[in-house]
Amino acid sequence: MTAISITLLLFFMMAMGVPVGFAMGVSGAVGLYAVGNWDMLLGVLETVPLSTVSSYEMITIPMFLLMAELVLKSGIADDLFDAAAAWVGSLRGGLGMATAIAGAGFGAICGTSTAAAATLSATSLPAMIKHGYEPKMAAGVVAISGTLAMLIPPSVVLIIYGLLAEANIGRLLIAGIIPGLLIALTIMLTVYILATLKPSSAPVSPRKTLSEKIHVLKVVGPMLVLMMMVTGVIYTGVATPTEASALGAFGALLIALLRRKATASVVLDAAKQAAQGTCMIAMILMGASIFGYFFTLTSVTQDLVQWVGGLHMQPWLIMLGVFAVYIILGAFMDQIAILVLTVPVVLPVVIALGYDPIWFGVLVIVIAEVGLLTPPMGLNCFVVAFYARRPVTEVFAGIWPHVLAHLVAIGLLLAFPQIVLWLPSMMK
Amino acid sequence: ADDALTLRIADSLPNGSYIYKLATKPFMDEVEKRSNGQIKFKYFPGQQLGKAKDMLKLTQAGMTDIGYVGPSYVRDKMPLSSVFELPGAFSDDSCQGFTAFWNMTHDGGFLQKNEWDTNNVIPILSVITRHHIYVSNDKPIRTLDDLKGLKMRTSGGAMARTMQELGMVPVNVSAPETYESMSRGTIDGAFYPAQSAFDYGLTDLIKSGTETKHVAGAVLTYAVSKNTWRKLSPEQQKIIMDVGHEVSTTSCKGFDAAEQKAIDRMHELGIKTIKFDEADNKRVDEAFQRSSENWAKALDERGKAGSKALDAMRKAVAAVQ
Amino acid sequence: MAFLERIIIWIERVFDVVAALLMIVIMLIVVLDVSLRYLLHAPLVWAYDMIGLYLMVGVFFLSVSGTYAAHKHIGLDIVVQHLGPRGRRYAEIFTSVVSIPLFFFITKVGAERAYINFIHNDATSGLVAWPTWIASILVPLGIGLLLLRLIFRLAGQIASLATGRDMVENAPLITSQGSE
Ligand code: NA
Ligand code: NA
Repeated sequence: MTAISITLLLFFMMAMGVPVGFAMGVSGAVGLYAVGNWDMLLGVLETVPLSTVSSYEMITIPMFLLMAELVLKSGIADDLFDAAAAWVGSLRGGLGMATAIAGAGFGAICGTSTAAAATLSATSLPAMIKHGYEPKMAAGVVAISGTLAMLIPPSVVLIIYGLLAEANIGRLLIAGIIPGLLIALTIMLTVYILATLKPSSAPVSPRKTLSEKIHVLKVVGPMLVLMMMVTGVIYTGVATPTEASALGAFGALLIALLRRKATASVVLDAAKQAAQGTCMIAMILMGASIFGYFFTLTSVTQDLVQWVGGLHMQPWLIMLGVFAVYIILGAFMDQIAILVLTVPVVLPVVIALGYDPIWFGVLVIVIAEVGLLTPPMGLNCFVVAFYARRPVTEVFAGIWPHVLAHLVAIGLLLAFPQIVLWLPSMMK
Repeated sequence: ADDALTLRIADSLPNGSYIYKLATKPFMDEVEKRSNGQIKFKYFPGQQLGKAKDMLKLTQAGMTDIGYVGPSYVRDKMPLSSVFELPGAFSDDSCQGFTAFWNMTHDGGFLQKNEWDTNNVIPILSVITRHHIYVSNDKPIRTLDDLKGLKMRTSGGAMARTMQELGMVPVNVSAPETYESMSRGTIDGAFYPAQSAFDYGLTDLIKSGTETKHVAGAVLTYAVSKNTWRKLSPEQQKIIMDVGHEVSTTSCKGFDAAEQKAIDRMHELGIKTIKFDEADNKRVDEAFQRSSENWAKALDERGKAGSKALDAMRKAVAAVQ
Repeated sequence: MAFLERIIIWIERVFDVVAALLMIVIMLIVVLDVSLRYLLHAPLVWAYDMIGLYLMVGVFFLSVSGTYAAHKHIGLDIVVQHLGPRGRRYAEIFTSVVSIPLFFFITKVGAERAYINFIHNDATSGLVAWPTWIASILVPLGIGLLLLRLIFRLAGQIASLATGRDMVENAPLITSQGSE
């Protein structure tokens, strides 16, 4: 009962406009006091704030945010979308499709969805709105495209699953590729359908001549440099994925300097914006951590999953139930916290039902993508709203078609596990 | 029965890790058995109740009754207990190290007096892993000089010093990134227990490894706060402490056997054994010596009893067998 | 009240600039570390701890109050967007009232921890012995400033409601036309 009343308290505070991180922290603290005691609560309040941010690996968030800010200030973002508009803008929903392609491309260089969403918010979103896209539509496609970064390797979350599940991480990362492309296609198809149903929400750009199309490709140069600074250094073994985030920011700085767009005050302002973005995300992670401890102590997660696992039904029906629980948890908890809480309990059940742990891992990540969008704890929507200076409700309003399409894709992956397992089975 | 006591026990190990199988689970099962079910455990793995670096504080605060306190995660609070993580701290027989560590943390031992008492926690179960050198680089390793310049993953502490003494380049890589960094050559290898190399999937990438003379270690304990301890009856305390002592000083055999099994599996996978000649082995010992003394000296300079801890550890190890 | 606000804003500005500089320092240290390791096999052994222990901590805690002042700690606007100016003042009073106790206790235990780290001379023992108090003092500094800012906003909103005049600015409403 405590779990339910504290969750209601959380929802109430969030509805009243209390910042998400504050609301999770306050309700988690009240919950910890209710199920524990005062010393326990103070112990958590002493350790969590510092340990949330005190880690080297955390730099991926500020550094990819800084990269996004500098990419924006350098003017590449606008050029890139002029180029995308020239090539696919004349298709129905063309710029939205370009955003999905950019999301998949950026996903191949970036390991965290939040950073990908931030970069896309700073690049694709303003361009789409400038070209007359309905803000809701534009924000939705940006929020969903950002999530591709956690499915397409490199992926921090996939690696965390691999460690929890004791699955082969190499195979797991490879397994993310085809579903990642499938999801990217799903997004493009969804955009196409939305644009067909309501043409005014996604105006078609005029068709360009071939010479114009080739001319705008000059933006490809700086983009390639940037991709080399991130993907290139990882694939050639120069740097770890964590370090690559800082190299990417540095590459963006160099490009901005070369284009004479970066004065000292511009760079300082970009760093300040990125610091505040980091602060906003870290505050939510901090609150989610306090809330997570409370939730763990109540054992609700484990009980729920064990109950589902104990049902006497067809395996695929049970899996549907398990995924439904994940979607519900994903609505209001941090994705990594969900993995840590549930994988150890759920995986044995899933394996007993005859499913492959690599397949399950990819599906859990695809579902976590949904969790990054759904209110109240839809981190990617917060990032898009933050970067685009748009109301969160508008972003949330734009994601529903994509959430529905995602559920269809999840159904496909459930019905045809080979989509996930074929590529890793090709490995030696 | 209704008056059964349920204790929360929390760690940051992945679910079903070999440490859980070899120590944590046997400990919990035996305590439940000997207490006729009057003491039960609720187990929280995977840092569900706190990150490794926060576990000491959270155990003191009562967030968990029994918490996973690893001295290398709380170096600021327990610098001395890491003395058992120094290279070659004890022999290839883990029981020597396990027993010496238990003795130093109980019955007025040096580490108990200097570190565990002052932090208000009591270790009730402890294990020490032994790490060996694993190289993923194709280059054959025949002499100590072949190790020179290899970029190795470190998690800091004495391990980085030892790498430098052996001519290697320490690189900080997080656990989740190790596989990727190794597969792309960002690092040429790492120090791990053989079983962890399997757990992290690194055996796909590793080409060769050492099998004797461990280069690093990790001390892992489950500890209870004195506050919680006082709430237990003398009978309950005795059961927990007796079982803890037994498992802590006998699970070493299981650790060594499992480690040997992992090494055998590595042979089957074609991973080569790195063996040094006598002259090189002597140089390795000297490097270990320098690394340990530098560790102690650095602590002495900060007014902590580093050298005394090193002496006490060597005496305690020598006293076993 | 204006005087108090000016002091808070001044500290926030200083903190914001320091946090921004720390961001750039992190970027440069990593670039240098990677370059030295790749080209000369001589990485900066202190980079990892320096960034994880201090710089990341500085970025977060030094910008926490400024981020609140800039209304960038994101919240849902489901109810708030339907409220008038007075309603929005009540909403911020609610936010302050529920958050002040949380941040008060974080500041209090954070200060105690920093004090203990300082008098015990606590330090990590890697290749470099980094004092831990430098990191832990950032918690009470940053969260303490946020606490002051929240108390100031609370007092200001109550005063504004009582007098009917703008003692502090009202929270901006982000509309579909962009920021107000
Ligand atoms: Na990715
Ligand atoms: Na969500």
